[in-house]
Amino acid sequence: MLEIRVEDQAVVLAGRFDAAEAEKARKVFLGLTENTVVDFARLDYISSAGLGVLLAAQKNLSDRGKGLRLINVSGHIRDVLHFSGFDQIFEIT
Amino acid sequence: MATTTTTANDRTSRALFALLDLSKALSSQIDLDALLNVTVEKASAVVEAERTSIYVFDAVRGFLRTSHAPGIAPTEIELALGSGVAGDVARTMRIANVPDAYDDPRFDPQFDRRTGYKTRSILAAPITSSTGQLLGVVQSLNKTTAPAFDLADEALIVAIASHIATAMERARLTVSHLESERLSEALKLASDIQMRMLPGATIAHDDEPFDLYASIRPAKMVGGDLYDFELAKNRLYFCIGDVSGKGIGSALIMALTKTLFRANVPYYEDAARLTEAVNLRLCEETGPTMFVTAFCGFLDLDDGTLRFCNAGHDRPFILHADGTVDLLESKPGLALGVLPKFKYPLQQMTLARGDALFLYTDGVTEATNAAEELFSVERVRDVLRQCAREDASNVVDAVTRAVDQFVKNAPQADDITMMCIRYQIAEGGARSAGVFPRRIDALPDIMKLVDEFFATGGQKTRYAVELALEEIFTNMVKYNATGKGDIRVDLAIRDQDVVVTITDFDTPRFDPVSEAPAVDVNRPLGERREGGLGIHLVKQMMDRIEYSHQNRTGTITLRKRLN
Repeated sequence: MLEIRVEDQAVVLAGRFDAAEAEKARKVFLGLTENTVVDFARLDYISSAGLGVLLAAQKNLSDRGKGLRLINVSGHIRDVLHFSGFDQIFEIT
Repeated sequence: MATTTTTANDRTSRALFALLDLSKALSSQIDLDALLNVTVEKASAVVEAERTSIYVFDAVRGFLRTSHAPGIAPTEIELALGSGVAGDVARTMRIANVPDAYDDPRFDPQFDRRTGYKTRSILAAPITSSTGQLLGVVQSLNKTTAPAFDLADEALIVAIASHIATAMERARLTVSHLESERLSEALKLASDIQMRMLPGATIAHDDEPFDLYASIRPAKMVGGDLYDFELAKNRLYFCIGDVSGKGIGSALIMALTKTLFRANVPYYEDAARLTEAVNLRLCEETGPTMFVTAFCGFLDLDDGTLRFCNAGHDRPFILHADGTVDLLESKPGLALGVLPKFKYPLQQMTLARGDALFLYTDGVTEATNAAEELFSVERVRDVLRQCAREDASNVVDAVTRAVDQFVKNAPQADDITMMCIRYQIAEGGARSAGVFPRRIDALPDIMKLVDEFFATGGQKTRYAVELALEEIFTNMVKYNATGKGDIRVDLAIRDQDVVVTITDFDTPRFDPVSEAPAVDVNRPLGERREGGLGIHLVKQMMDRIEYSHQNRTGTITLRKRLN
């Protein structure tokens, strides 16, 4: 399961961001129009399906000169982002 | 006259008692030498002679010899047929009663001259078997109570000869019986040794990714069939063979062939080069009339790749996971032991998970019933169709039972050998397996399987395994949405590696590793696309990815070192 909480210019994720949950998250992320912080602190897992949603959102925001900032990224998820080259197209802290 | 009668009666009864004595002694003796020693003593008493000898006829060399003349030097006396009185008796098979030896032209005085003995009278009779064959001659010298032997003595020595004949025949039968018993003991030992050379019925355990069962039933005490298998790391060697002919000669070649194969296995990666090495040695060691058919191979237990070589052997069957049965496509090379430099072709196929190989010798297909009908390849195939998905031991048992029911009481003419090897992941141990519907929403259930598998450790490897499994599974669902049936997932630990196997039982060939588009992760955002990232991550995070496809079954095997 993936829990998504949208706050003021922030999206807080918890659980698993996988292919089974990606479509639900896609709706949320494609609705973003401002610079947004995505909090990974309680995210356990992300696969290419989740990365695809983040990439689509980043492209959308980039067209408006905005972007996503990924925070509290650690461990395996950091590795996955690195293997995907996302550390070159996202601000990650 | 009354006195004479009494004397004659006394003599007759004494002779009868002595004969009875001899008869008892003979019936209790089995050893021929001991028997003849007893006879010469008793016979002298019966006919009242100074000494008695027995000449045994050597049918092979055609002369008589004796070592049973007490009081004479232990050198054996040999007589040619027709030479001397005994030689003449042997030749004519007639009794000789010689009152004065020196008056008889047949008598050879050399013996007397050599020993200082003085021969006067001679009584000799042929010893003949129940079928009239000459066995020897019994000869008594020097009547003690009269100058010469009389008619009564002639009758007695004929009776003695008949007793000796019976005893000699019995002794010979006993010896030949003992010899045949000794031979059958030796054969039994040879049979034990031969069976012990073979590796037993199985080496498959619950934690092996294969199931194997073999059986052999020689037609005679020792056989010319062989089978063998050996597991080394992730490679299973196997071999089945059949030596031409039967009996001890074939059994020796069988032992040689099995040993040559096994000795060479560690040095060859390639079944064809292995076969060539064995063939070369067999050509050197065996005569031109002996040959061996054999089928050997290596099964890679990581991906089911089967590399094999066929040296004139019957083609094995493939039992597919879906229950269908095919003969393995294979070019039959020349039998072993025929041409030392023959180039054997290496052949290759991939066993899908659940597929099995069924190997046999022609004792199975050529098992013959009372009506002279052969069991045939077709009957084997029919039985295999009934049991294609069962355990290897059940497959072998089913064919064995079918052959037995077919031949009924007809004698077994040839060795019957079978071996079944199924490529599979067995249950139990650090293993989890499940089948899942072809839908993305099966993912939570797949992750429960992963939870179960990692329950006892390996958490550091877990993320990579979860991710790779999800990516491959969703890939299969997306690209083969119309495939029938479920998708199977196997997780296992082998040699410190986590092995993930994902099998689609109804799919065209699609190797995601080589056929998916490459992803350049260093492109700027504007040039990045969502697609292809999954396979890219699998390549990044797993140590090894292998794809196999056979008979609409596609299998992806992933390995990751356990941390």
